[in-house]
Amino acid sequence: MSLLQTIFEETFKISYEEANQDLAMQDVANWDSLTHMDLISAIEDKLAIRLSSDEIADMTSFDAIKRIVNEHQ
Amino acid sequence: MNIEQKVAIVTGAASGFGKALAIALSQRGATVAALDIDPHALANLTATNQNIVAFPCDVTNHEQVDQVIAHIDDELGDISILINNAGLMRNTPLLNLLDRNERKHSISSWREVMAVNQDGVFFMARSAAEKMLDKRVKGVIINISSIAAKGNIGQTAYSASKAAVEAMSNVWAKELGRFGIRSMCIAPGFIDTSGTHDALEDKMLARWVEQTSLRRTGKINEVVAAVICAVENDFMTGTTIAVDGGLSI
Repeated sequence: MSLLQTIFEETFKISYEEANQDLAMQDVANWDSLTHMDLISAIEDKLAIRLSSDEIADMTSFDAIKRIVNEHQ
Repeated sequence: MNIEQKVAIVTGAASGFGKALAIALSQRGATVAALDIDPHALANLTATNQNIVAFPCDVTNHEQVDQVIAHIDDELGDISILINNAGLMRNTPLLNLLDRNERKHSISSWREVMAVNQDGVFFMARSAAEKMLDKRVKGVIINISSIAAKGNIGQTAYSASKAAVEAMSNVWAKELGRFGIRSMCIAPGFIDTSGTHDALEDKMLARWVEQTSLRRTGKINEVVAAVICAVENDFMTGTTIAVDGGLSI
């Protein structure tokens, strides 16, 4: 499992299977503006990258997050 | 946080606590952005302190606040410390039975106090925190509250505004802590300042001193020391330090 999927599981308290799907913000019960801050903090800390404010605002689905993170690696 | 070489903002910096805080931070090596609505008083402060830069600003105007924060970020660099000190105190009972014309607490006095003490803190914090977050600065927001946050007789607006400041401060500690940004309050009791003497009759102040464990008013440098401690200690957030000689026990 990728580090990103672990972050999804831990941040949103979702299952391994759910973390493997392309879920969007509206599909995840506790993905709100506050858990979004946790998500960004975890991604930046664990992947040692720095996201721009536009990228942070664009990260509204797991696929979008993977795409943006990939651009940093 | 090591204060040296950091950029610090102090509101209400032209006099009283704010002036003392600006000087104390500059003496510890910070570059201080001194904000005040009075540009002439600010000029006096900056004339004698090289590391203090004047930014005239009305904290009740959110557009002006956003502009000033952007200027500070451009001219001085990353903002690490925000001290929300600007405040107004008005002594007005909810009902003044001696006033035949206006018995009820004036709406204008309520709005005036809330605009500076509550809105001003909110406007400054949201703008400065955005800069801290964008630059990933592990900064600190220190809000000057008061023992009045628990409800001082005759100070409906002032007490309400300071309670709001403590609540907002706790919210920001919870929200921004994950980015290493801290937020907390310092709550002075009765401090020996011209503001205290202007606001309270001597007899009233003497009664408050009688109720203070240490049986005296505080000194400005004792409040400054608490603020410096709050800035420097990286594990303090979401709390309020009382500097009141034991009055609130």
